[in-house]
Amino acid sequence: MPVKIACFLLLAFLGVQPSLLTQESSRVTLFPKPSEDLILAVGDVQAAPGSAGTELASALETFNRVLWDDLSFAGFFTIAGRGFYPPGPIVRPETDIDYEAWNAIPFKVSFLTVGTVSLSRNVLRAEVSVYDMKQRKRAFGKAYTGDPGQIRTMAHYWADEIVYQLTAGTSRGIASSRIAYVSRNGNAKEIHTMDYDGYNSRAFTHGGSLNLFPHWAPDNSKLAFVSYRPKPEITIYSYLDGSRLPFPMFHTFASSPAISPDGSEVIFALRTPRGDPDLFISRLDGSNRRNITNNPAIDSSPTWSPSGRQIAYISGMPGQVHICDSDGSNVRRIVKEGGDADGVAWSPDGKWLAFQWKPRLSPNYEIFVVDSAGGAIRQLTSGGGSNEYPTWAPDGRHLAFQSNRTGSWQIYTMLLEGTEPRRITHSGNNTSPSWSGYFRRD
Amino acid sequence: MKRNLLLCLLAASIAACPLAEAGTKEELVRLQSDVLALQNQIREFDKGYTEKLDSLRSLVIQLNDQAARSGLVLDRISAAMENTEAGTREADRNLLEEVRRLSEKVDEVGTRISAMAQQLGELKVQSASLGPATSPGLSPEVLYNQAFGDFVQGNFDLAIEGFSAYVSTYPAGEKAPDALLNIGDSHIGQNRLPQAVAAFTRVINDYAESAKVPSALYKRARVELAMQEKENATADLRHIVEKFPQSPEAGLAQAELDRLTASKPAAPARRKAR
Repeated sequence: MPVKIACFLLLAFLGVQPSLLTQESSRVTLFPKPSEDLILAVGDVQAAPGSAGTELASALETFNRVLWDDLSFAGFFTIAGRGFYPPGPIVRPETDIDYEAWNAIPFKVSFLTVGTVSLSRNVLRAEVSVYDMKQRKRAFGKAYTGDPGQIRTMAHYWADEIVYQLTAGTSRGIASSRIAYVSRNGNAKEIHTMDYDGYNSRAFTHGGSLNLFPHWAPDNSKLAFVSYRPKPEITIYSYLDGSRLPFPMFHTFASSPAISPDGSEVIFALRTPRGDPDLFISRLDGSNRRNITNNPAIDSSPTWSPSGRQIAYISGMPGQVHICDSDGSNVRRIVKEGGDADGVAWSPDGKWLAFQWKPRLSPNYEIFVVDSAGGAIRQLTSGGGSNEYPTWAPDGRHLAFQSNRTGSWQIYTMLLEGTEPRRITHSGNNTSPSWSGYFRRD
Repeated sequence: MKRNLLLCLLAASIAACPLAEAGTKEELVRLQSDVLALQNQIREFDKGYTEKLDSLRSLVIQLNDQAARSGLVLDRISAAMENTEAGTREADRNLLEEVRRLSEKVDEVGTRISAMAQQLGELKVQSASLGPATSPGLSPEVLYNQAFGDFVQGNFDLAIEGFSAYVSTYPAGEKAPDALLNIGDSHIGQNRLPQAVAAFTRVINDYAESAKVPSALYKRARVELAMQEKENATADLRHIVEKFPQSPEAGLAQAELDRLTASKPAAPARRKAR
């Protein structure tokens, strides 16, 4: 994004339309940018009058950095570079915003976010607002309070509020969403969760065994994963109170659970007496279990369509992307290019299937998408190690995946077009990301 | 790969030198395909525009509701103000806070309307720049994919509308049996089981040679089971096992038959007229 901003500013100086830059720099236009002309300025939040101190200064620095990163990565706006902002802090917006000076910069800012933070008795209070620079008035605002350890969360909430308001509810913002993943710790693999930008990581399991394939319930109330006890078994935990929910053990090989969009069922792969894994759907307590791919092929990595009426999955060896209806009938192969595919994930808007794919003779997997109704596949990642197991952000505009491009397995995020990759884990080995649903509710 | 492609192109161009006419034809074909691609893009945009307008419309309705609710709260406040005796300071403070919150809410609503208006304006401008070329009928592929998009998102009524339009416009279309299967599934999603059976029956009767017949039979059998029509369901399941033993549905049908047999001995399967 910084590169894009710099180019935008350069072109703005030269009088070139910013949309030209977007068209030329994007390899594949998978989604239109609805607010291409919506230019957002992110003014630094200031200390509230009468507040000062080192702790407050640190909080301000964090808030401003997190807010900038969140809004830059949101994918909805063009962010105006700070170098062009009129000088002077904005503490009292009614008097401090010099609209004439803002009008004089080389591009028209649509909205400006400003605010103040105070610290009193170890309680932070952020009062933030967005100003409509065309109407020259306050558009909306919020106040957040918390302890100093929550300053990042406050910035995330405010970023989500801005996205929500300025996109007219198209997105609720992903800044307060979380990503579950597998972190290797010696011989053990534990499930962790972290903020979408990689901060605030917490271990969810502590068993010292192997825990794999985490998957969020769409309402974030549960986490399903595979836990070795000692055979790999489906395990479902409440994310709210950390309790384990009852689910039968099959004493065979179970993998890749995924909870249905309405939260009532779970699909998973289970080895049959025949020896090959099939896909089974059951209620969340394991009852009413039925085999929906009753055939000798290896079936794995199921993912639900948003309606819950279809399942995309990997079948065969090498793996191929298939779709069937949730009753198991009407099977069709979606990707016909051959090679080996895995890790298929259905986008929240239903339009795309993301998956990893390795052409014959290629050493590495790359991330691709294909229209769920069928069609040509489109490559999102290229070069640098193997890129695997894509997972969608709830806004359907971002993806997370695992990659070993730097030598160890780490989690990355990117925009749907494959642009703006960000490495969000930095130590150890981290794999199998699963992006949560929205945490902010309407 | 790229080098091979370049070599091929070079060879093709050398071979094409004496055949200037062929080159012109190629140009024409390329131009035609460009025009077709442009038409497709325009249709895609039209689709997106319509969806956007729909969502904006629903947002406006929501906002109106919100405004109406705010109006009610204001009424309550004014009633409270009338009933309050000359007012304690505490009550005044509460009222002021309430009014401040309401005022913020109104501001937020205003901003969202403003953001929507801006988006709507942009869409209108883009739409106008496309001119009248956006109106021609949708190609079978676009029509099907549009309905499929509604289907996977769970917009079942819209999906039924779209798939029905596909089947009636392109009854011999490649995806007509798929469209009917999806119509049936959409009816199941709305708990309209008899309509679902009717859609699956159309696949079985009208597209008897289609590879989708085993799917239609299996789906119909499951709906029949849900409707307590076990004999019909058993007949459909046996039909799959006997006539389409290589289909993916054969294994599912056999498992279903085994379950039915285990729960209750099945009578000889003969389809009952409905």
